[in-house]
Amino acid sequence: VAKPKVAFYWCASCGGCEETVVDLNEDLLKVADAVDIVLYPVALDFKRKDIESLGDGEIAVSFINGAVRTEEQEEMVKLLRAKSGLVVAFGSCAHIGGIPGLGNFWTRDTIFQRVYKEVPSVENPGGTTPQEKVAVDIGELTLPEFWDTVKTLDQVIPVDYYLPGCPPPPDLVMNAINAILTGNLPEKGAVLAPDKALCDTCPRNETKPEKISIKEIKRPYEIKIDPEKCFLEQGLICHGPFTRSGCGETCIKANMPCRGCFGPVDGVVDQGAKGLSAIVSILGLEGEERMTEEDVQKLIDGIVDPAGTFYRFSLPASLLRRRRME
Amino acid sequence: LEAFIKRADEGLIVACPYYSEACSHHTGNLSASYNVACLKAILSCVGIAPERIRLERISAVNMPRSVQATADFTEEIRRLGSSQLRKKGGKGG
Repeated sequence: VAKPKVAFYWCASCGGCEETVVDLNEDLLKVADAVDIVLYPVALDFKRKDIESLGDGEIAVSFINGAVRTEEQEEMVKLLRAKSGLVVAFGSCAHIGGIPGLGNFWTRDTIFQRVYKEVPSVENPGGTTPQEKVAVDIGELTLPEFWDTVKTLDQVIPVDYYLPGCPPPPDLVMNAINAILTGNLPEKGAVLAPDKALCDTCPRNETKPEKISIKEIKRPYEIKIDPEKCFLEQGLICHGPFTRSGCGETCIKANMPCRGCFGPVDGVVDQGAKGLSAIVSILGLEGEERMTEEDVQKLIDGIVDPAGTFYRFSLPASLLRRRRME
Repeated sequence: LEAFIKRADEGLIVACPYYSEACSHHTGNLSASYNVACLKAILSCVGIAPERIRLERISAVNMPRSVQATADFTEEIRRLGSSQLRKKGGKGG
């Protein structure tokens, strides 16, 4: 019997999602036994033509990580969509835009300006920036178009399931693979992780006081973080109240507040807006009736880069989506 | 935010002027002021004039003040012109 074909692909991402597949450890051998891997750029040398030669729907499932921000990525995900029965958006970037999605606070021109001309470690006297076409001795060289806008995978192709996380933890990956192999899948469009806020599963939840009141926002480097106490109680912005659980609380266990990579729970349209209201509802509760407008502004100024903080992983998937074009 | 993004050019939020025990919504008006202060910073990061959102604290019985605040805000929005909110975003959408 032919084994089901599986593809892994990366778009605008750091490579961590492909590595998390390696983090399956010995389970990876079971996966490799059960399936036929047809594409896996970080580890195996398959080419685009290998995928093109397959029939439509011949790949059982494609796990695609990374956001989509170039013409080439768009072509590849459309190709994989046509050849695949199922497409899983793998990791934060494919799911909600991820860290590359922060690029949507800028435009292509401002990004090129910064990266190729202004960064102190760059020496570029000619002010060269990437061109889509350039004539050289041997002919014309081309590069895929770099877009102004970073998109989530489902803004480019239909997506069947989402595996959240930066990167998705091995247990969720293994559960998803098993569910696909056994056909034991939830309704299409589901996020393959618990529909609970991280706070509900947080080991520090027990010590969390009933009423938290933040009088001053702190950043992790500014204080000695108590390893037992709720981060919010310590004045640190933790994304736990407005982020999906399922990560295994790895950041929390490393004494770092949640950064929000799992995206929102079901039904929340805009993780950033949800986060904003969650945090402001616990700001300065005591003695706030005496606060002046300046006091309010001072407290809010403690949130360095509120846009980047609350929309750290989810800007392309949010209601804001991107900076308005001039 | 949803109403603001999808339909409106601007948002005038009116909250109670009284604090805590004097008001049935307790400190909702304070949360609103934090919210609006933060939202202004976020909106400017996506190229939307922060003046498009304004918080006024007006008592429910102070009608002249409500009318005045709405008129002032309308004037401000006229000055700012139509919002950039629904404009599509360049290459790649």
